[in-house]
Amino acid sequence: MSQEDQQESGPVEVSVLVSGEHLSSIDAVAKALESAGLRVSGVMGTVGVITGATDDPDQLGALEQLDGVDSVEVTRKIQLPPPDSPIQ
Amino acid sequence: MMEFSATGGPEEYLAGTTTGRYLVLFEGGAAEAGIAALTHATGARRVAATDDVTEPEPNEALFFEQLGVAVVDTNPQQMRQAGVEPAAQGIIAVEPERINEAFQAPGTVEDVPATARSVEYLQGYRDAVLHLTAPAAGDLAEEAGLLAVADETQATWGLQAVRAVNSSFSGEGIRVAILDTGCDLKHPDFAGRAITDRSFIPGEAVQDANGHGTHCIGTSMGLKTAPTGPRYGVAYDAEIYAGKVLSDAGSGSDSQILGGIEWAIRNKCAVVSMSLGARTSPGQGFSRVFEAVAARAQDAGTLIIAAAGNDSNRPTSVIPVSHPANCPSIMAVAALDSSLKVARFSNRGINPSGGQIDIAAPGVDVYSSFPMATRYRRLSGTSMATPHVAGVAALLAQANPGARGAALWQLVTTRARRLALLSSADVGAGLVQAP
Repeated sequence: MSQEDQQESGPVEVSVLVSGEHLSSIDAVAKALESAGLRVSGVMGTVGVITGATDDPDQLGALEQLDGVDSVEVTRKIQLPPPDSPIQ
Repeated sequence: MMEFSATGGPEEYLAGTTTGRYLVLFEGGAAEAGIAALTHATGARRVAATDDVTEPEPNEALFFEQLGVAVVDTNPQQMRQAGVEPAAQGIIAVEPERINEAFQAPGTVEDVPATARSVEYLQGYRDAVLHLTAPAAGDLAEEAGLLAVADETQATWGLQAVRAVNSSFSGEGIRVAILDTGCDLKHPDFAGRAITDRSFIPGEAVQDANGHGTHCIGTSMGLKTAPTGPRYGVAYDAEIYAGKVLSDAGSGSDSQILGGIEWAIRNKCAVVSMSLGARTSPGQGFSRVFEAVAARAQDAGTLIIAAAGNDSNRPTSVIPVSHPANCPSIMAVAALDSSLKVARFSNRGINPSGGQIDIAAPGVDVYSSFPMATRYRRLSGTSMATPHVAGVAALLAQANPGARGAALWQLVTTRARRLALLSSADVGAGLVQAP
């Protein structure tokens, strides 16, 4: 297992953690994120996470200030070793 | 670990943090003689511990037969007058019972039955005393004796080491999600098995063209009697949920993994196994997103288990536990070899607050299923250790229908076999053990 940091230019993909009190109104949080410029790609009501992308990395701090948002993390990439590697 | 003397008398311990009761550890094989000597000397009445009876009444000696431990409720003067001390017949150690607050697993301890906490506490006491009193050479021999398993004719060394072979549980009725590269749905060893699958990789079907996922599913839930070769699957009757969160090229992202977790919780999987991760650096914190998700999963009855990572090259370098296994509410799995040594590549608990290793499992030279036409392959890695733990967790979930989430976590770690010669920073609670 190893990590490749997200370095390519272009949209920044993020995972947005919705606070516990706002789980029941996660769709409203998703709308607020969209209004703030996030292109929402997924709303996961059980775990309370909204995924999306933005072209403006400087926007992330503003997203974190929105009502119902606990935290915003840039999506990590995960890469397994090549299949022929003896260590997996 | 608790501090105590294995040889001191009871009166040394009258600090304010004790309960006023005493723990007495008996010699293995001499517990009957020991409890008889204890009750005779103190006048306490012998009571057998059960699921419902976990606290002694005054003047009772509550006897945990499986553990070889008694909890005695009597006053210090009586203990002293009775001469109950380690010199007595069949008794290894005596110490005042401490207020139990050191055994909170991540998550909510309130959900855990008092029995589980008591038993864990007593197991910890027993193991600590035995560790201090047993000569190291004896421990080595004991641990080596666990594994006269060079012979893989019947079952892989890993299944023997986790004691899955003779378990009376099969994982029946338990759903286990393997979030990985998918599954070879045409593999003859999975013929007739109900497999629920979903791909979170755009443009790729669940069908596993990588092999990693098929190997992990085999270890956790492969069939009981393989048509050829040894048995390699732990929970052979568990329901397979194959979530493809890594592409055939072995790549994925946080969002795809989170999607897989969401799917597993919605499908009421008791166990999620994730043989994946990203390297971390010393001092790096854990993901708030994954931690909250894992805690919410536990509350919903889903235990998430993940590989600690293979970035180390011992003894030259040791690297901290990977993301997301470094989250406090995700169980981090280290890899052992067949002589029960830490695998050269296995990461270590270095970062504080959640970055520790929680448990260890077989992860070197692991034989399991692989996409056709290869059919079987041996691989090494914490990726191979993780599904051993997931399979055992499924057996424990079947054996304990009320234990899910944090309570299941506690069962998995409580029942682990302590590896006294290894550091808990490397192996956590020890080698996972089937019920």
